[in-house]
Amino acid sequence: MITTGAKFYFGLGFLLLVAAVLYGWTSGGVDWGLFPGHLGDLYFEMLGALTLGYKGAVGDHLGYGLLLGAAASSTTVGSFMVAFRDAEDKPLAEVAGLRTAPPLQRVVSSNVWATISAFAVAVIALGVAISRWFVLAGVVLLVIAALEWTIYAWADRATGDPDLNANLRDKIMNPIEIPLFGAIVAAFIALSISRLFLAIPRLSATWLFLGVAAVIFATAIGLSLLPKVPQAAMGGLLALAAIAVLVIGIVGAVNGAREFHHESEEFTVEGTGGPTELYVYGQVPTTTGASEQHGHSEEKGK
Amino acid sequence: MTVTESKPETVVPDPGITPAQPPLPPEPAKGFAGILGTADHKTVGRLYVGVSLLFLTAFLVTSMLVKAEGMQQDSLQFLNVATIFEVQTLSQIGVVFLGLMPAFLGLALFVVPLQVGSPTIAFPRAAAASFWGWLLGAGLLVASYLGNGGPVGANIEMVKLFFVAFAMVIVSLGLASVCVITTVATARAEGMNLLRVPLFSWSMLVAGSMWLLHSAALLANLLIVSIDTTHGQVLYGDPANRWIQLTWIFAQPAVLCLALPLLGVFGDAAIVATRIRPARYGVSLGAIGAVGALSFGAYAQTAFHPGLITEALFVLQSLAVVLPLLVLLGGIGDSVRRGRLRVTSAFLVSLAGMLLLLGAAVAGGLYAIEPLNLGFTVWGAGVANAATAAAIAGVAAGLFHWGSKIWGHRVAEPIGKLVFLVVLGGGVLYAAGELIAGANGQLPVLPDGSVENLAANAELGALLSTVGCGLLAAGTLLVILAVLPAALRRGPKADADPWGGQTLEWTTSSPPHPANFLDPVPEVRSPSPLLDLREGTSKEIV
Repeated sequence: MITTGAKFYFGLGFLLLVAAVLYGWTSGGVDWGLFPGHLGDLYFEMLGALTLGYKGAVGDHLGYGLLLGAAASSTTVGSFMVAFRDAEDKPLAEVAGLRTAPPLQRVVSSNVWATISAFAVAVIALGVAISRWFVLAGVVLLVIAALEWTIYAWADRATGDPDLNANLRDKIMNPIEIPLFGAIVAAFIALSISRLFLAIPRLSATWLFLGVAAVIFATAIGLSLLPKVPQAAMGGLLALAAIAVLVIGIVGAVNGAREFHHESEEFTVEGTGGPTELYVYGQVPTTTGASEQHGHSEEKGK
Repeated sequence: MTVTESKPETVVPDPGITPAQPPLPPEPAKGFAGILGTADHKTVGRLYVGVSLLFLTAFLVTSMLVKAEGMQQDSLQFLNVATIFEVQTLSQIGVVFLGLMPAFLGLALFVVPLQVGSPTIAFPRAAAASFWGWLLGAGLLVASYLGNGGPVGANIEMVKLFFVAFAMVIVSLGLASVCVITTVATARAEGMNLLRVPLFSWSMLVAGSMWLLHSAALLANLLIVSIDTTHGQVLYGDPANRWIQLTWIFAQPAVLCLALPLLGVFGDAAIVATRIRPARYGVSLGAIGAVGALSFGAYAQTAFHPGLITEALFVLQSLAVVLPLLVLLGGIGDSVRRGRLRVTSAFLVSLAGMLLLLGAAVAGGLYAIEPLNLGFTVWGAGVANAATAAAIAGVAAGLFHWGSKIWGHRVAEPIGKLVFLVVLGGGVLYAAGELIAGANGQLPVLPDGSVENLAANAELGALLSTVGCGLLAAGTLLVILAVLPAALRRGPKADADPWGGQTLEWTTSSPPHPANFLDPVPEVRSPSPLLDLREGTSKEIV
């Protein structure tokens, strides 16, 4: 049975196919000057568009190809419509062996991963134009979002109970999410604080972080003494702390590192019998006066 | 290794079992976090509609500025030669891809699941992702223009950003189209075969299919242009050639499919206005499908094949598209004659849109007649302007028709009458200006901002277009003014069915519950299931 939806798509496909042939004939695929004297030759020229270019020219390739592609797409969708009988509920129930088809799944739980996926794609788009680091960051974010999205999509349909579904999702994802989140937070804190350490004088850094540690300790004691801490207040406090760490990191990075004065640790290597080599911290060994800058780690390995 | 020794039992379902209703979903989160994490098609639809109306107004204003520059051809008032072409391209993209298409998709994301009796949209998270992708893509697109990018800007990084951002916008809108099409195709209520689908849902099935077919070709164009722009700018990526390869989407016949949802809005508004059962429903569905098929224009890329507009296929297609439009108008005219007409704003505004679309189709037919020598003049822009104005009327009519359902408060109906006059007048002037200039042989602005072949009456045409565009912007502002109180939850609350509607969306509360329908959806036996219920009839109509 040809269903209504299939009729639309088959009709569209047929129309586009006819259009492709007509377009092929009229856009240079056929030399109409052959009409009416050389009908035999005209017939062979017309075969081009009819045989997808196998037996002759198809005129403007771009338009012909697009029309043909659209016709194929439409016909394919029409075939799906026939196969699934326009997705009507009665055939579906028949196949499932039920009196009526199961009701559709209702709206899914709320989460931000669709939004984050879109954001990741925007970061990739920005990266394509500006910097490949953005592309990399966007791809990483997109992979994470895709994983989370997939698990959410599965969990939403796991059972008929939304609470149980949420628990199932948490059981699978929390062992991954919590360590990963912890690692990201640790890296974020280390990066931000290290920027500040590098920016301020050594002595000031010591005193500053003694003070910060004291404040954190005092706050923790204060909180532990309270009979009840509202979740919102705790969240707000942590958010403030995170913003403070972020600001510290940005300010430190903008100001740049303080000047470092490396002490020269010069020593000689004896017993080689040749000219004396001079080893300087941070430089590769060369003969005197021709030192070459090299990486720190390489030096340490010697 | 585990070996299965016996064949597992096959569970044979009992034909008598009726599956239980799924449990109600949890209450959606509120506030900004709720918006960011929503998978509710109604919230996504509202977001699309709200943001796209703002974009539409803004880009109609920039379009007006471009038109105004044509009033005094010897000197530019608001823009300069370096920017006029950029602003023109931004306005075209903005009105179509950031204004009209997302506005229709927003309406569809909200209304279509309700019309077909579904508790949700197909792929709800993809629908949400499409909105955020579209919004971020739109932001990057505008940013690329601000950074001297766009299709012909001097900053090559920003030009690349333009291509990627435009592609992102197209893909996002395509994703939303897939959600809408799949909902119509697979999530209909019991008994609703495709011959009983409400006209708006059917028009979105057709429009979404055509938009997807066009999107694929447009993305291919963008890919080719962006690759050559990055690697040598030999031919496709040459600044003078970039934009012209993308213009087919704003030209006849592809531009007509922008207004396809208008046909559904008009049909549904007319059914409510005439208060009778629609006659020859299948013919109306067929007419909408035919307009869709005849507006396929991805092949009509004159940048690669300029002689195309004189070829048989293009000419036939341009002339033939008028017929199904006349069939649809004739059918509704017959209903008006037989029924008891109640002049609603939605009906009036959508009627204005239909007249503008018919005008666009007729003007498009004339464009294809070679002896008239209209090819490559701004007559083509006149056709596009009429179709754009028709689409604006379609969005406005849709909001007057379903606004109360969307926001749960009544939309200011009297403003709709004013919108009818403003949009119809604006649309006529907006198109007429370009048609007059085109008839006098005026050619479009070139990528370097210059104008060739300055025609007599071109300045008059620009004046008319400017006024028309301004009126359309004013009309869009009026629509915002009409729906804003409802969107802010002010004013009188709306009933579930303020119109005496005939389709399923009017069975549920305004605004609908998160699960859409709390009561079981009635079995559909005709295109007017609510009328069947009211009349107590269950006879097969179709």
